[in-house]
Amino acid sequence: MSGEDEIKHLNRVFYDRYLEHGLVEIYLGIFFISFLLTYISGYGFLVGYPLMFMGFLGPSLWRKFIAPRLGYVKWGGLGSGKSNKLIIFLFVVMVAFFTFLFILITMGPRYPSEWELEMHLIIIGIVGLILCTIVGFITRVTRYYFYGMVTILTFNMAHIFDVSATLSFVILGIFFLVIGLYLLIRFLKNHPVIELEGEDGDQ
Amino acid sequence: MAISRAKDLDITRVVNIDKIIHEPGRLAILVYLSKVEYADFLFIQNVTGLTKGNLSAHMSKLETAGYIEIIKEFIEKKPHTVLKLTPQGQKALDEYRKKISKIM
Repeated sequence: MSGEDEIKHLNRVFYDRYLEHGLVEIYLGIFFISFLLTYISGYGFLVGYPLMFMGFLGPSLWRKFIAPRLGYVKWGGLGSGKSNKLIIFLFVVMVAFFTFLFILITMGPRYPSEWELEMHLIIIGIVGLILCTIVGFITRVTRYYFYGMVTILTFNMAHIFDVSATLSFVILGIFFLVIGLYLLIRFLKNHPVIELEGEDGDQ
Repeated sequence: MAISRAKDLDITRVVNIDKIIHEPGRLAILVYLSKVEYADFLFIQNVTGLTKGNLSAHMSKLETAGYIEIIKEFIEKKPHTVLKLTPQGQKALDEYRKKISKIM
């Protein structure tokens, strides 16, 4: 292995460590489980609260658990290429498009067609698979492909056994939460806190 | 023939190597910083495996030479040091790489 390759390998190892803490999975899990709130209360906007909560809590959790263990780095090579930026842009456009489509179908002026009603779980599963695949491709973290498979499988099963979309999201949420907690516990065990105080000896 | 080979090698190239960079610890810091936009003290300590004292000493030397920029800040009342490779540092590293590859 040449020096350049070794650096790339080292970069890869540290980049992977930054994505193995499981916080993303925990956020996803909480978000999906929160669909239960809308199901119980009947108010769709309640899904926004966990999102807001996570938006506020996310950075402080990262500072509390991740930064003291790994340090902070702004990657130059990984995830900053032109093609990756294009993929991220496409991802955002796709999420916006599907959100718009979802709102249009569920709250729009026209009533959803019979086909849409019948196949909506399959469509959600396919969208989930596509989004997970894109995330996996961008981050180069293979477990996202697995999440994509689990997503499509969950919604296909829900379609076959006539389970509601809300309950399917909750099941998926529990899955993500369990995986996230497992990853976080493993991460905390593998990476003890390194004291930052007086780091450069003159403070 | 032997004299000709010695001339080709040009021993002054070896002597003129940048001594600031030509030290494993400092070289590791510079090479790593050249691959990222910036990194903090803890991250560099993790990747290089240097002790706090060693890393601090190397950082000071590299900063004095103008090869790295050290940004000190406080996050939640704790000191946080960010390291960044300067254009001068990048240039010096490139030259060092060229010289070493010629010698080898």
